[in-house]
Amino acid sequence: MFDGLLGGIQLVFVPANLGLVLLGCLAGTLIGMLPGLGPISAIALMIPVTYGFDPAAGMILLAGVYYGAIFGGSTSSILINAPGVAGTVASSFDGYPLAQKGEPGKALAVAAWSSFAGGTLAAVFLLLAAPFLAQLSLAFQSADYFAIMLLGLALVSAFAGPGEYGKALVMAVTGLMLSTVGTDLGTGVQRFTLGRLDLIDGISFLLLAMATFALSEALLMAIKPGHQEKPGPDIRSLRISAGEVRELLPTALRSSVLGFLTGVLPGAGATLASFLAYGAERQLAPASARKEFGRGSLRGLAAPETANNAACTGSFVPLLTLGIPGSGTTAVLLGALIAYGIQPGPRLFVEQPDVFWSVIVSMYVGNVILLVLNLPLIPFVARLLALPRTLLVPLILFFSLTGVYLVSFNTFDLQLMVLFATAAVFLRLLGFPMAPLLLGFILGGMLEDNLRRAVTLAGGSFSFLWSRPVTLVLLLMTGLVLLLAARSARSSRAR
Amino acid sequence: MNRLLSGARIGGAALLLLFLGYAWLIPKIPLDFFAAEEAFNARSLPWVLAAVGILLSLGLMLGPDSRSDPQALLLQLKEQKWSRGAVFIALMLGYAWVLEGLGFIVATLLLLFGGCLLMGERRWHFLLPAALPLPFLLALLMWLLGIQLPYGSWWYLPDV
Repeated sequence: MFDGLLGGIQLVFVPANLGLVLLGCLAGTLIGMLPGLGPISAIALMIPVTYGFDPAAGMILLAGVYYGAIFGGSTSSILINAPGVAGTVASSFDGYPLAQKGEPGKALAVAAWSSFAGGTLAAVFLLLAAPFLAQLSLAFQSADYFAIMLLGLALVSAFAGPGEYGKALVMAVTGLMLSTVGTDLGTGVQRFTLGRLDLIDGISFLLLAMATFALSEALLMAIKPGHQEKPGPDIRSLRISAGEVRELLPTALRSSVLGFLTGVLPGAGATLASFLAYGAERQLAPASARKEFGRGSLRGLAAPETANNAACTGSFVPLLTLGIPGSGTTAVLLGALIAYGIQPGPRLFVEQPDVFWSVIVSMYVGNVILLVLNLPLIPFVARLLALPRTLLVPLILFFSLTGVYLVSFNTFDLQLMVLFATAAVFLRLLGFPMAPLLLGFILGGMLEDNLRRAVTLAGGSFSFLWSRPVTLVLLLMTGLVLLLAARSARSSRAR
Repeated sequence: MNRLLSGARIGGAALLLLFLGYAWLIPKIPLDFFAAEEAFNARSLPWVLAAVGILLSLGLMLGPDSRSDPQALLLQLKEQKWSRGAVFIALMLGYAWVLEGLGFIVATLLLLFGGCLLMGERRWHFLLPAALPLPFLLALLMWLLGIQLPYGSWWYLPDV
């Protein structure tokens, strides 16, 4: 193993390959910042660039693009509440309020350091435990996936204010409901399309995220009376105090482990990892710190940022060791590997160790480069928030509408987006949180697929719910979370 | 009357209507004979979601809402600039409507300048350099990436 690792280090530290990691991180960050263009688009756009390269160099570049795009997505999520990809939605829950409090520089710095911690720790886990975890991930079956998604949904309490669990829960069900619009992938029948061809593919995540977060935020700014609040004097400050670092270290460690393990599971990915980490961190926080969640908590920002980067690394485990892409992004990477003439799987370790180890080493180097590249840029990027509201609102409209249009090239999507944004404005004014809606929407498709598969495998019976120990434990955890949330809601009402 | 006014109740009522509409559409999902006999088919999850959604929204409407403050909610709703919100919605719908006819650059410039003017921005020396280059830069980036944006139907008008 150490020979392979040394070989990987030698390969990545060739100046040309270091240049490729740098180029990949830079291109990924810039593309990821644009709403609508996430890691999948960024990698897909860069694959043709890598055609002349040898496989290891190509993968080094693409790994840099992957990390860069995830970090770039966090920037728009934190600064203008526009999460362009599902994996960065949870970063906006506390990142955006923190930026609004006049500390966008600090928010971006915490995001950068957390991403670095998540990516670095996960690269170490990958190094040590990849083959073992790959076998373990195969032991997870549809019933377990269904249960873990229910657990993720039960954690909506993390996004609810005190005593408002009912509102969060109903929004999660609304999100699940919206996920059923379009062609049912299991049977091929159309559901709730109202006869419109535009709805056959369902509602896109980007459309819903942009409408309920960015566009509704812009509309709320537009209808809000009074003048714009002046941003704080330290808008560009990246300073994180020693006390804050001490507070965030355990968060980073916990979220790295959780994110990495979630990323290893095929299909779960960075989105579920970031939501789970946010929910878990809120549950673990002491009562005084828990009140800060949703209002600019540093822990609330660090947890999903760490977890989504760790999950990105984790998703390489099934890809490299089993040849199974765990997410859309790794599916594109699998395509790239096959295009280079490489078949990922258990033999990759033995037959092409240079590719395997260079990808792992480039992940670590990519994380360092991302940090070095992004920290100096933060003061400039953070100045976006110093723009007056008169200009910021039209800019958010521009990025949201063009971001959605450039993905589908369908103006019906823009109309649907305006409809959702209008509904979101009313619901937000009435105190309904939008995060559970997105969580339900993201998990809805996967939840239904896994439930259908589990029922089919069990011969039409629901006995899988209690016959598999992993499923049972996850369901019991779900029940416990619901019970705790109900108790907390009751005590909050009593107060 | 004010006692009935709470965010949870108003939102719960709106969502109840949505869930009832959803439930009404479920029987219209086509199922063949074999699918109808299966333990889990295309209607199964929607039925569960509709039932849970209706129960939860009824719970919000009828349950206790100790956090509600009718006066504060009324005040908050009254003080918003709803007319400006309505014009913004019209602007965005208008953008969707004219985007392909006028072309990406012209329609987006109208959106940006329209939005700035609606927000009360009149400092042209500030507005022009901030908003004018954006559609062109995005169009250039898309051109470099090989993605074609709509030029607008006027682009293709024959010379007269």
